[in-house]
This record gives sequence, C-alpha cells and structure tokens, in this order.
Amino acid sequence: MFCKFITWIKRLYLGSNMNWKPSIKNSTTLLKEIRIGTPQQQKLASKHLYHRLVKKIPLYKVAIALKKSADNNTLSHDVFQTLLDTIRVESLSIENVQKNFLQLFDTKLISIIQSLESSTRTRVENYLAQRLEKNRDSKPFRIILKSAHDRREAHSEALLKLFQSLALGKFRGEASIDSFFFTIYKSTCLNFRKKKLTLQRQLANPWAGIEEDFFDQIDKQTQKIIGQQLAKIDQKILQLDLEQLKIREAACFELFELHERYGFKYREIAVLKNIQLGALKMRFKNCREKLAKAATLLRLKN
Amino acid sequence: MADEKHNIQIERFIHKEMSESELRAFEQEVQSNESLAAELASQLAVRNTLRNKRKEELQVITDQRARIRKRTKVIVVAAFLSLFAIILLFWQHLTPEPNLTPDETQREIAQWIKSESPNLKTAGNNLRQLILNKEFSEVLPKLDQLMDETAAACGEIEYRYYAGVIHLLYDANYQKAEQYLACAMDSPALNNSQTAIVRYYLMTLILSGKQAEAKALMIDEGISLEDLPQSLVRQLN
Repeated sequence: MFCKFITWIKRLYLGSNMNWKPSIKNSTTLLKEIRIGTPQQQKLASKHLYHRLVKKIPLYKVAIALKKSADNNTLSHDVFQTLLDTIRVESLSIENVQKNFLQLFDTKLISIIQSLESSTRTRVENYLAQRLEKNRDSKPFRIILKSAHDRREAHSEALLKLFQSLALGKFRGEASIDSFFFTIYKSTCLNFRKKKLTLQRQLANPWAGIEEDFFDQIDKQTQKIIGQQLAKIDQKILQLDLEQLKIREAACFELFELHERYGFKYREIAVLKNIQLGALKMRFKNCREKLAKAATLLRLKN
Repeated sequence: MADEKHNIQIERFIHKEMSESELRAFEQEVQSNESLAAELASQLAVRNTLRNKRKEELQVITDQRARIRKRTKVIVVAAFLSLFAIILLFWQHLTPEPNLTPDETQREIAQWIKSESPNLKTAGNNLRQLILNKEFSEVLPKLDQLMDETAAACGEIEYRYYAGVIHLLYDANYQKAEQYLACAMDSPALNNSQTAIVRYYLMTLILSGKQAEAKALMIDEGISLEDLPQSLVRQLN
C-alpha cells in the first residue's frame, strides 16, 4: 500500500519519465559542468538542469502538451537549446538562467500566437487563459469589481485584448506576459466599473459586448442609425452561420477571425498570407457572400 | 467599387484612423446611405459574435481551472487537517501518563510497610499479614470486597487507608485511591498516620492530574517539594 502511494507520488512528480532520477548536485554546479565539464558531464548536467527549469514553468504539463502538437518540435526543449548556447558562452547565475528560460518560453508562445496556424494558436491561448486565471478573483480586482459575473466578463475581455496585443506585436517583451496581462485586466476592470456594464444593461443594449470606445467618436444620431441596423441582426442565428462557415469554409472563417477578432488590417493580412491586397479584398468579398448565403440557407432550413 | 470604398471607410473607423473632417463626412454618409449603415452593422455583428464566442470559450476554460484550483486547495487543507489529527492522536498516545518510576514505587512501598509494620503485625489477622508480606495481588480484591460490603460511607477506616495506599502504589488506580484516602483524611482513628495519609492523598491528586488542588493542599498542610518523589515534582512543575 505504502509502496503504491510512493509510486503514485513519483508518477505525479516525474510524469511519464519514471526512470528519471533527479540529481543531488546544486544548480550552480550543474551550470559549471555545462560550461567546463567533459562532453558526458555536459550532456548529463544539461538534462538535469532542463528538468529543473521545466518545473519552474507554471502549468508545465500544459506546456508539455502544447509542444507535442507543434510537429513534435518540443517547445520547452527548443527554448532550452537556445538557452544552452547562451549558458555555454556566458557565465550566468542560476537566477538569470531561470529568468531567461521563462522569458524565452513566453517569447516562443508569442511567436506561436503570431503564426497563422490556427489550432496551435488556439491551444497556446487556452494555455495562457489557464495560466492567467489565478488573477481573476484576486483581491485588487475583487475591490474594483464586486460582482463575480462582471469579473468573469472583464477577465475574458482582457484575455481577448491580450491575445490581440500579442498577435499584433504590441507586446514588446519588456515585462512578463503575466505583468502585461495584469495591467490590461486592471484597466478593463476599471473601464467596466466606469461604464457600469452590468448584465442587465448588456441584455437591454443592442450594442452588447461591442467595444464602445470607437463609438464615442461619432454623434448620437449616427449611433442610433447603426443601432437600428444592429437590432435587425439576430446574434444567435449569426453565430450558427459562422459555425457553418467554420466547417465548410475554414479559410474564410480564419480570415474573419484575423480581421474581426484580432483586428489585423487588410494590408497586414495580405503580408502575413503573402498575397496581393486586391486578391485579399476579393477573398473577403467572396467570404462575406458565402456567409450571407449560409445565413439564407440556414434560415430556409429552419 | 462602392463596396471597396465602404470597406476602407469601415476599417479606418474601427481602427480610429479617421481625421475629424473624415469622421463628420462618414457620419453624414452613414445617415444618408442605408447600405453603408447595414454593411457597418453586419461587420460589427460578425466581430461581436466572434469575440463573444471566444469569450465564452475562455470563460469555460478559466472556470474549469478555477474549479481545479479550488478543489486542490480543499484537498490540501483536508490533507493537512488529517495529518494534524493523526499527529495529535499519536502524540496523545505516545505521551506517557503521569506515574511513579518503578524505583520510586519500590522505595515508597518499603517505606510505607516499615512505618506501618507495628500496626500490621497483629496476630491472627490474615489481611494485615498479607499486606506485611507484600502480597498485594491477593489482598487487594479482598480489601475491595470488604469496602463494598461495608454499609457505612467511610467505614472500616483502617482497611480503607490500606486499600487506598495499595491502589496508589501497586495498582495505579488513582480514582479508588483518592476515594479511600479522602475518607482516611482527618479520621481520628488514624491520628498516628495522618502525616503519611496527607502525603499519599497529595500524591494521588498529582497523579490524577489535579495539579491546582494538589498545590493548594501543599500550601495548607505545609508540605515541601523535597518530601515528594522526583517524578511528581516534575509533574507539578
């Protein structure tokens, strides 16, 4: 019974790598061995250091799950290889190594978000959402927004803003992703409180969920006209239309996501997709027609 | 051509890239051109729907994570509480009960028999003879039986005193020892043994954990710590 318990603990700690025996040497010694040891010592020391650093990544298991999807190109292992080159050249302290490892890991995540491979990007976003969840109900935000529902809304809104900023390259990497998100979440919460965007107001408002800041620039009359047009659109049906489009025309759906959700401009998408601006605009036109067609078909079906 | 112009205008409006004059012109056009208003609304609706859907997905993910974190917290707290309970249980179990050391017990018994020997050497009395021969296992049930058979609350006071001391030093049954010795205290029939009775009663109180009462008795009777066995002095401290 006791042996089974120990095995269980070991499996929890080491994951699938059950034969792995952690080294008793301290990290500074391992760093020294990587720098000036024999090739065999270097190899073993790198292996030990890698295992220690990986444990420093929050939710490292999710990270390991991510790396498996990325063409068997192990994410954290890639990061470590980059770091290893630096360690061999520069004499870094273990604290700096840890810091650099986390920074490089985050940079890698950002590069995945900036890539246009949709499934991996979604997986990285989901991982970041899990990692950044701990902030959601922390004390400063409980003070700003008392309602748990509002905090939930603000948190997801802040996550969308974060992913948008990461995708558009607005994050310069001067702080960690966590600190950057903290700032975004704080401003989103303050904005929520300022505008008193409660559930009741959202339900009563045809602008529900739409960022209001770009409407602030136009007059009330124009806002009313756009509001009347918006009220004509059934959001639930539109959601079904988009679902249909995602299944049948994945490329179109991705274009919509890049343009409408992430806020990429036409010319930016043209550069990313390596196509002419005119051709891209034509694709958008076709996709909008397909969406309208899907909507009509769906309505006929219903 | 008009579509493309509208798309450019909408993109510039959403990204807040319009100058003040462009914005006023755009407002005029939206108010007068229903197709532009409809196109803007449809693009906003698509944008809104995509964002809302992703927000819902993210909320589900974060909710799941929050639930796991909460559950882990509960498990950790429960594990700590269980561990604490187990430690407490073992602690109580492993902590030795207050008792005299075997040496002290032997010394006390020898001292008591020696001091009581004139009274115990009465010819023809079987019980006294047994006590004198330190055959406590045999004499104790007989003494208890005698006490049970005695109708008076504190009758057979001399035997009650003997039974109390034997329960204290041999049997370690402090409850009975306290009960019998309490009767023997202040009994005129046991005037000669009063100092010893008070001392044994004090020892009983200490061993049954009644430290406050024991201290009060020590002060009242003027008994010093030097008169008590070392293990009891430690208990008192």
